[in-house]
Amino acid sequence: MTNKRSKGGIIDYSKVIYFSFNNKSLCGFKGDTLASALIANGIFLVGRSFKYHRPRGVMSAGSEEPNGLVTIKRSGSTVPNVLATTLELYPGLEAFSQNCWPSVENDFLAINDLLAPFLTAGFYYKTFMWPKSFWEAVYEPIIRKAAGLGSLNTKSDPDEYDKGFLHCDLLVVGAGVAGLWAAKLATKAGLKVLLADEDFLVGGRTLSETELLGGMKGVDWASKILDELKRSANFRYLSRTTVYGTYDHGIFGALEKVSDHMPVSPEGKPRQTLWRIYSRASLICSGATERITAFPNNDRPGIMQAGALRSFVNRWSIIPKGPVIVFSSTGDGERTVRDLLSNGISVRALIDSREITKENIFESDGVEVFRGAKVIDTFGRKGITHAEIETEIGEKKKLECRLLAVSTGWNPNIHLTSHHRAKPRWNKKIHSFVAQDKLPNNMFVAGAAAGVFSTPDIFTDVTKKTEIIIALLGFKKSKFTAPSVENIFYAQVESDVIWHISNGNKRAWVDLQNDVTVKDIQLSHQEGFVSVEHLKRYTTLGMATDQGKNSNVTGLAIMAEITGKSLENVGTTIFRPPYIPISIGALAGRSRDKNFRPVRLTPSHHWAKENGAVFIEAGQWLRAQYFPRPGETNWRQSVDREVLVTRSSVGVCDVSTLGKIDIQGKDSTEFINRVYANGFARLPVGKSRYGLMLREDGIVMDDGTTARLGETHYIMTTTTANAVGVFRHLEFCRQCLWPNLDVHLISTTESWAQFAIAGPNSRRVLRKVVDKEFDISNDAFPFMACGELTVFSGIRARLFRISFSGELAYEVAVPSKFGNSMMAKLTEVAAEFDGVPYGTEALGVMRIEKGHVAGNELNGQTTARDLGMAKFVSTKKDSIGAVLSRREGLNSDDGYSLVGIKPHSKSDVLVAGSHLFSNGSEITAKFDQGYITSAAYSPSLESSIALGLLKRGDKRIGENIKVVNLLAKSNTEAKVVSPHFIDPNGERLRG
Amino acid sequence: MKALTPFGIEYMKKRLINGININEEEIKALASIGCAGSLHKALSRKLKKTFNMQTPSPGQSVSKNNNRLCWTAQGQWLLESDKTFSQGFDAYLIENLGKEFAITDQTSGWVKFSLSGNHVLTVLEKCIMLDCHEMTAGAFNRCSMEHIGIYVLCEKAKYEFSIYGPRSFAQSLYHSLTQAIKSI
Repeated sequence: MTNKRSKGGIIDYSKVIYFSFNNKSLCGFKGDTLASALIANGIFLVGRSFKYHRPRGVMSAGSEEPNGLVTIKRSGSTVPNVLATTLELYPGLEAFSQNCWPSVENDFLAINDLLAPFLTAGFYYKTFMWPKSFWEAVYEPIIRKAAGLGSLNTKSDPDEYDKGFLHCDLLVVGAGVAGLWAAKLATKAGLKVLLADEDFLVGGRTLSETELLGGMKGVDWASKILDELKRSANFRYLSRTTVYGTYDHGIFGALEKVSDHMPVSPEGKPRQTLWRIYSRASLICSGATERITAFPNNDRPGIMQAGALRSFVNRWSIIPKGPVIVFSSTGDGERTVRDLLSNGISVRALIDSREITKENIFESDGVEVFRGAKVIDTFGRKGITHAEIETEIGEKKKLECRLLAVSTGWNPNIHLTSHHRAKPRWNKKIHSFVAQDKLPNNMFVAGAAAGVFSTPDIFTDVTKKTEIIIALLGFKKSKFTAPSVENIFYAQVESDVIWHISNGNKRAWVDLQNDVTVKDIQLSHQEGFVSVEHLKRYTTLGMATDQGKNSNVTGLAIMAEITGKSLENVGTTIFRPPYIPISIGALAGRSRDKNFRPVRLTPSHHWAKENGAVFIEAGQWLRAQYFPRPGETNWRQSVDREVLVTRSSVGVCDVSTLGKIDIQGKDSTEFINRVYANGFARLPVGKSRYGLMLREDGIVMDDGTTARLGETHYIMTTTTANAVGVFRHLEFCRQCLWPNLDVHLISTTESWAQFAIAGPNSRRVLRKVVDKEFDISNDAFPFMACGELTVFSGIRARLFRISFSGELAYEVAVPSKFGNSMMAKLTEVAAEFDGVPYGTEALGVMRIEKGHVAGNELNGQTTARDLGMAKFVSTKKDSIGAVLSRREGLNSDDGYSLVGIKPHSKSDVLVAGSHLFSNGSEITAKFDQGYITSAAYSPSLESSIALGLLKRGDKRIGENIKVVNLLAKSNTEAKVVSPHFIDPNGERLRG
Repeated sequence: MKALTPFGIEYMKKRLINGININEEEIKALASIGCAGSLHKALSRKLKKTFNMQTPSPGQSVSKNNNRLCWTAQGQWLLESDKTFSQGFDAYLIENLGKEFAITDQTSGWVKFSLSGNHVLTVLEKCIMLDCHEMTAGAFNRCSMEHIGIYVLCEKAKYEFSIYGPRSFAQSLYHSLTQAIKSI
């Protein structure tokens, strides 16, 4: 059954569009939305409701739609919860109803509606209580399967998304009459104006009404203004763009639907773009939403907002089959009847709840007008067939209808004004919430969004507010006369307040998307959930995709009535961003798959890749984890080989990821002495020293070595993980704590490629690398020496004799551009001594064998004392964290100490995170003695080994303990040993 | 030893996509210069003498004889030269400007991409939060791109810009820029 078109409206009849709904082929025209095309095709039943699976149809014509959610096929995938009311029709569109099986016509779970008495608000909190074990295994899976709106496609999103940043003096949200007029005034005054609207046409509500602006139809006036504006270089228009959130400092989030109106996105182009908009001022012209009134069975397909019906008739030129009943408490009822009649649509009656004396202007058209009447029930399973009304004198009548248009007033769309937590205020005149007068970040509200509903008043309001903004931003206004308005309709004048209508036990729906009824709200009150926030959570009112755009105010009004409070006193909920659902794809933008975050490549990355390295993510870095050789079948074989070769001969490792900070200035020594806990005042030029950095609260922040290259020139190294944090900390110290010190900090992590050369043959390797004129003998270049020299015939380099492995070792740095070649050369030379490259895994094993602390131990909870470095906190000077490190709580007798742990049996494996218990003690948290921080298999000791933090550990060397891994249910006998498994006296590294 | 670009190759990447030229530019010499407030005038004199340039104000750069001096922070500038210095740019600057200034060689630490074309602003607004529409030739600002700290230099208003990014991020930056260009 197809509805006729009037050949008017804003439709391009020359472009027929074929699409399908529930596999049924249909056609519409360019300019249609899916909702308008479905209604034009006589389809009112679109989906099934969330909880009771009741038949539902399109109720609105915009993004506030609670019912018209469909799943569409797109780019070989599916997208759920697409609003039929905002989805532009495109050729080949395939849309499907949601929440129904096997079909929207015959839905198996419609049985839920019969069980409604048991499925009231919060039923799942009260039922399914026993047996307890059934909740997770039985009840929850069943409820989850039955509930929900649409089904998420678990495949990767085939579409591309983009993001961007825009700047303007004035952001105008909404391109209706108010927004367009504001944009015109501001643009002409010279402001950089950005106008955004979620529709694909400008004009807003004027597209759906019959008022004439400047003698023109709304659509023509709006197009003319836009064309005019587009000629200005300081104006920009974002079509199909919803401003969904307001953030600090005048920043807004907006979603542009770039190609949602196309079957597929053009090659390389995004489906949607997420914009971050920086504005000096904003004018919210987001219009108003027609409110819902809860009357019995107000949810049947064919019952819709009167404003929406006028849109479908005036904008989309649909002539639905009547008869239509219009139920209204405002002047919009008469406007609707007038528009319907003028399009030849049969109107059965106007039910006007207002008890006013007014003549029936539609008498000659056969329309009955019932003043002081109300709709008390509706009938028809899959579409409305009758409405029952109660007249002023209490008489009940059952009237036939195919459509019921409801108009009970408008609520300004003030969501964006309350994202900063500015609570809306109640306006008694229009019976609705409006934004506060003073909003942050030069935000203003105008037009219907400010509760101004007549078009001439809107021009006055917008002009006034735009002129304030123009002056505020330092521009000069120009004079423009607002266009004349003909055919004016004062919608909300003499309106009646009608929030809900009771009729026995019949259900009246407040939130159609969440199936929340008046009774649910009453139950919420009865059970003590009186606060607005509790009401929302208990009943789910105002949740899901529409976020209560229609229902919130009605819900609050009902709660106010129940509690006997006025509506302004019952309170209102704060709207939160986003205003419309935003897909995860849009939030991710181009950051997806392997590019979901930036990756840092080491200077020798390309060499490592060519040499078969297996990589591991270390923060943002991609580091070589190990270098497998032919015949090695697992990573342990490769790592064991790399460790053993390094300890017996030589190994080379790229350690460029360590943070490197160039510190210069005449006060640099004093600066370093203050940021490190240990003394640096007497570090000679040409020497390096281990440094321990504390946080202000005395906890260890980071460690590393600092080399003194000149009197006022140092190179500080940090751990890879803390490179940025330490640099930020130093800048804070320099700029905020000690601005008088002459210190300059530059991160040189990127500038230098640094390589560890470790093992007894490391000096022999270096002799072939360092240019001949430099003496690197043990005497000339002893342990902890540093200096600048050249390598491979003149390449500038820096050499540090430091060791993380415990072996005789050096770190050599060259400019990063030589990093790849340097690694190639170093391994080539090392190979002459049977040396190998090694990765982070071997690096980690060797530092555990040596007992060096790293990120696992510097975990933000440990003190210098815990790590066996109490003496590093100098008492001869002041430094950051020194005082608070002496707090009693950090120095108790049963504090942690770093220890080594070795299992009794070589076949036992220790795992990081395992907990330590005394032999014979109960394995409960009460008796916990500590935990393992790092663990590895030591090929040198042929045993699993670990570092751990054990209570009084320094006094328990030699004690047998239990290592308990509750996750793996293992309990291992182990011994507490020195954390220095290898070369405890440090003879190798000084050799 | 061979000097390689961050992409592990010996030549600079150059591409034309959607009417936008995206070229990797060789950085021959780059160093930061810092000084205490009390030495600012002395540094200005030395820079004038050596490079015939005055220190630029915040958000700006100055260019002379293929050298460019950019403001990076209070009392800190970045100097780029199109000459190569075998002993290091820092050594040359220390010799010519003096030891009293904090000079750090950064020649190897950065990757530089130039973007030019009629729609370059459309690309940049997809990538960075700076209002590049308002940048005039010589404007130089720090901002972030994909959470990576970068510098943006306007070479020619509304037409040509240079992006300086950390060398290790070169691949991610390049990917992000080329994706943005493809999407316009």
